[in-house]
Amino acid sequence: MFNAGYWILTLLLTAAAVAMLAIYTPEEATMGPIQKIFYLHLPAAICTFLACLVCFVASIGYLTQRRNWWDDLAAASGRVAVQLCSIVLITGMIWGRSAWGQWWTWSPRLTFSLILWLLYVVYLMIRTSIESPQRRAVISAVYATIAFLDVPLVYLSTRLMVDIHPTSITLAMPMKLTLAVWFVPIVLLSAGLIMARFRLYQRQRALAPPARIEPGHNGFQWAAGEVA
Amino acid sequence: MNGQNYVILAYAIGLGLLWGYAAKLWWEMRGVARRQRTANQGGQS
Repeated sequence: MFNAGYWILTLLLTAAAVAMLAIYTPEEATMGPIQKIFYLHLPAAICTFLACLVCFVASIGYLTQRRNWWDDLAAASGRVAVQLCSIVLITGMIWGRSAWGQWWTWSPRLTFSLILWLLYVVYLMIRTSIESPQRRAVISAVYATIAFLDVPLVYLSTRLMVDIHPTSITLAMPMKLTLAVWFVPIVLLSAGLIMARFRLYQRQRALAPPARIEPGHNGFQWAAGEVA
Repeated sequence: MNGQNYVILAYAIGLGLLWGYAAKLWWEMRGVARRQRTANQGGQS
């Protein structure tokens, strides 16, 4: 269930990426050492988008097929998306403090990123606040489908609007190599966390007492029907 | 705080959040596995 080999490999790759960053990667000429935040910031941002995409696809899957494992997958990827988006925001803020002299500025990219984080935090809150498993699955699937609309806005914000956030950075070859190396442990970590959380939800579901169908619940009787 | 310290802070928080969450899941899985064993033993007796 929690494949030790996978996690040991991911841990070793993380250690190798950190060592590479400390020993091999050169400092950028104008920004200095602070540019090195970029090697964590960008892979975390891409993985945030991918986690949101998995959540979106799984939510559509649940709405069309009504299978519980779609709901578990959506919940797991939504949870990991919050974790990754937190990293994107925190590393971005630290970079901004050093580069711009302020922790936060209401630029379109930063604002849409904060909205994305809030949307998925609310998604997790919705999941914990609804007791009925069927209602929870349906409402959160509809919500996650709508919440995903912010992802293209985050991506396009720097292209469509005037923004202080850089759109592209020119990197020397060792920097490109470092970036490529950093993608590996971050992608492995993100995928591993989604799968681990997904399996944990499935086990918890198997251990939970059978779901009760709520009679006379007009809004979601159609959703509760599948559990019978 | 200089640039180097900001970089260390960013990586410590970023990797801490990811690996901390992995550790949390591992711990929860241990609990679920224990509950599952107890449930299985209860079912057999």
